[in-house]
Amino acid sequence: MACEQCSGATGLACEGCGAMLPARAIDRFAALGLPRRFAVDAAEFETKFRELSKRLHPDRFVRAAPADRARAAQATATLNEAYRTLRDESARAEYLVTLETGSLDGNQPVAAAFLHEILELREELDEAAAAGDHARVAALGQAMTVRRDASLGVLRAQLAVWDGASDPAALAEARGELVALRYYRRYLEACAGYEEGAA
Amino acid sequence: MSLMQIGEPGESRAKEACAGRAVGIDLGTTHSLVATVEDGVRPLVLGDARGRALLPSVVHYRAGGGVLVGDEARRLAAEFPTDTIASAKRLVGRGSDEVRAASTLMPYDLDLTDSKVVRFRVAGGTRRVTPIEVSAEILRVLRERAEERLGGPLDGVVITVPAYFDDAQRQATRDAGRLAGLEVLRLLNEPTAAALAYGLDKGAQGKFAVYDLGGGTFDVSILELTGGVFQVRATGGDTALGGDDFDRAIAEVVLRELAGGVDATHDAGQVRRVLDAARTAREALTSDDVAELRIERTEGAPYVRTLDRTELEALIRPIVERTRSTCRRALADAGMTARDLDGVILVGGATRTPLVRAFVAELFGRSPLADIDPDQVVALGAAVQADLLAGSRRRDDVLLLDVVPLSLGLEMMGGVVEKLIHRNSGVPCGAEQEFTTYADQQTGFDLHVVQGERDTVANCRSLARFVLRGLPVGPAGMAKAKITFLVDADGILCVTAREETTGIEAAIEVKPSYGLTDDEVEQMLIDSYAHAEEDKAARLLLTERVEADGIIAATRAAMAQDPALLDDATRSALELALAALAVRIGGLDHRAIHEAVEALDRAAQPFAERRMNRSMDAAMAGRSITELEEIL
Repeated sequence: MACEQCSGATGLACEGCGAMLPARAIDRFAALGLPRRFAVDAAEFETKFRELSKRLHPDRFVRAAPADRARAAQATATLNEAYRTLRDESARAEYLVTLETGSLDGNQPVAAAFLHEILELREELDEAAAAGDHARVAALGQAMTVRRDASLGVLRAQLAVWDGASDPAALAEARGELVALRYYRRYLEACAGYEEGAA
Repeated sequence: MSLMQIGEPGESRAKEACAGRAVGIDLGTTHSLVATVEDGVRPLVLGDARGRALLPSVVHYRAGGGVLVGDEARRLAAEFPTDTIASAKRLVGRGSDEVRAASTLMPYDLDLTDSKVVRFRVAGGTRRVTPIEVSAEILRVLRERAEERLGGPLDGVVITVPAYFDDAQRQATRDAGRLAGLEVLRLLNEPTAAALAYGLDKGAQGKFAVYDLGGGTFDVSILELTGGVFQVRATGGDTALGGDDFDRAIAEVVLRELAGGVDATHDAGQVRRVLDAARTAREALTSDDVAELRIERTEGAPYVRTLDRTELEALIRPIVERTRSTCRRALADAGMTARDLDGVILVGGATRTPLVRAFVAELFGRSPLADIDPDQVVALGAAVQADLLAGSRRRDDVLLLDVVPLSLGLEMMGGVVEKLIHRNSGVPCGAEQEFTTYADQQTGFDLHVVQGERDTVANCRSLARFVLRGLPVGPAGMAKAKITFLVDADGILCVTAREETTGIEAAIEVKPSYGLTDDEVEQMLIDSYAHAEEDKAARLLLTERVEADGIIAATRAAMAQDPALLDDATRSALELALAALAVRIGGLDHRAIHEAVEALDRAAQPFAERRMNRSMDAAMAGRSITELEEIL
């Protein structure tokens, strides 16, 4: 979609003249004017977000017509959702992979052995928490953090392949890693919940 | 020295030339303020005719009709406890069952029959008013103050709210603004306002925590300031925790002692007096080590006891400690530790308490900043935001990016909450959810919107129930409704629904769980227009009368205390002026009363000067010159 005023580039705001573009369905990378890549320069990302906010935020349209105010609110909501998703590394990875290869929910097979192992670890955690064994809870959390970080490392390598060659095979592998990461994350949330409860 | 309280009426009345007439209002639990940016650069607080900046958030409803706001209302609180509402903010946007569960030491006559909104029985039991209407009275006085100072109607206002206010509390605040005849440009979170005041004033960059402990609410916000953008990273708080709780802790001890060491019920006037004495003592202990509490009793000698700082700190430490986990969670939500921060900003009168300062310093590992008056900083920041939004000079280099304080979700089968918008998401923000019919011939849905962090509906706060009707008739799963949440820049949620297969906007019936419906607010607005002029006249008259009564009492007391300082000429001039004022008080002309007060003030001048000189002599007696140089 080209800008009406200067026929500039796509996104929420025109990169040429900064005008707010008409509302339409765009993905979250496009909302921030980013390519569909995993690697993101953090400083550049924040600058982009701030500049777009300055153009689109409803505060800039306080005295505008109601329709423009509504559009500004909608555009900023889209921008904020994109920012929230893409700022976090894991969320960005999952969003990129599902955008390119479809949802993970219900159609990604999980190995029975893996599920079994996580289930046992979880039981161990619940027992330690029930027994008030804070040291054990902390140790289990620590072990899971190490495992999660290793998994993130693998994921990064897989997505670097995608970034370089747009190879869909890299994304297929990443799907498996992302599902595992979901289990790790929930486990770590449970640990944090127990630790908070104890404190 | 009571005579010295007689100010210089008219002194600050001069109308300053002003371009934009946008103001910021801090609608606080204990007191409220209005501020504006006059010269396009610096915000300043607008005082009343007597130069007072802080308007106590106290509203008195007179039995015979008429409403008083501020100091004049506060003076009547002990005498007419149920007709005088203080801390209405604690009840704004709250339902009756919530208040019933948490009403500790509230000396009011509450009507809790309406589950959606609490009402106070006031004016000798003849009127029932909601906290929204009480807040509107405060806002109306500030509006008139600002219009008088700025010389015309206002272009718009920014009203601040605690960052942790939920949707119902925000709606209620916006309704109060509407009732007061204000165009509310924005609801601004208090800690964000404070950061704006600091950031623009000091040109600060980096990461900051704002610790805001007011009269009735606690907020903590973590912000990042970069190139003019104030981005809130995380916020947390407790909308029922503040300096009022310090006073309550002291009052509970005192009331028990008054009752001879047992818990007993006390009449509302007694509770009010004890709470006031507790507050005075607490404020004195900010700079002093010991304070005296004195309560007059209907029978026998007054109750007198001392309170030292150690005892105060033992009483309030558990309350202050409750802010610790909130601060920790906000830091974690922002993905930071205390070491990442470049500064900690103190906001709210309760942060003057030495224990609170020490606690914050220990918690964040650095001494906090408080160089802008913590009572004024929020109003100053609100004025800056009002100027940015509607002022004469647009500043495109400054922008506030705030967040939603509490997650928003829908009730699912089995009372489980599905979160659609997570806390600390930037606002405006939105979310969509699709629903399909689960039964044949189903033509509608019941939706329940809740706010909170817990997983079950029972532990979250109900915001509203929606009934969606007009779906096309067909087998189960055929009709699809898309529900859209949009949280606006004020942090207020708007829900819309659309049937996907036919594209028709489904009819939504909104049943807010708390607060007033639009129709109710509309009706109140119509009523207030009808009575606006007479209400204003009645208030001006009452205000002058109460002021005059106070001044007469103060003058009489001073005359009785220091007869030696009165020469015959001054005495007869004073008696004459007092008699003239007494006559005017009985009349209906508020200007005549005001003029008589001014005349009394002039007549008292020589006497007041003598009293002042004498106390200066007393203060200087027996001190060396070096000591005096330090003091003066």
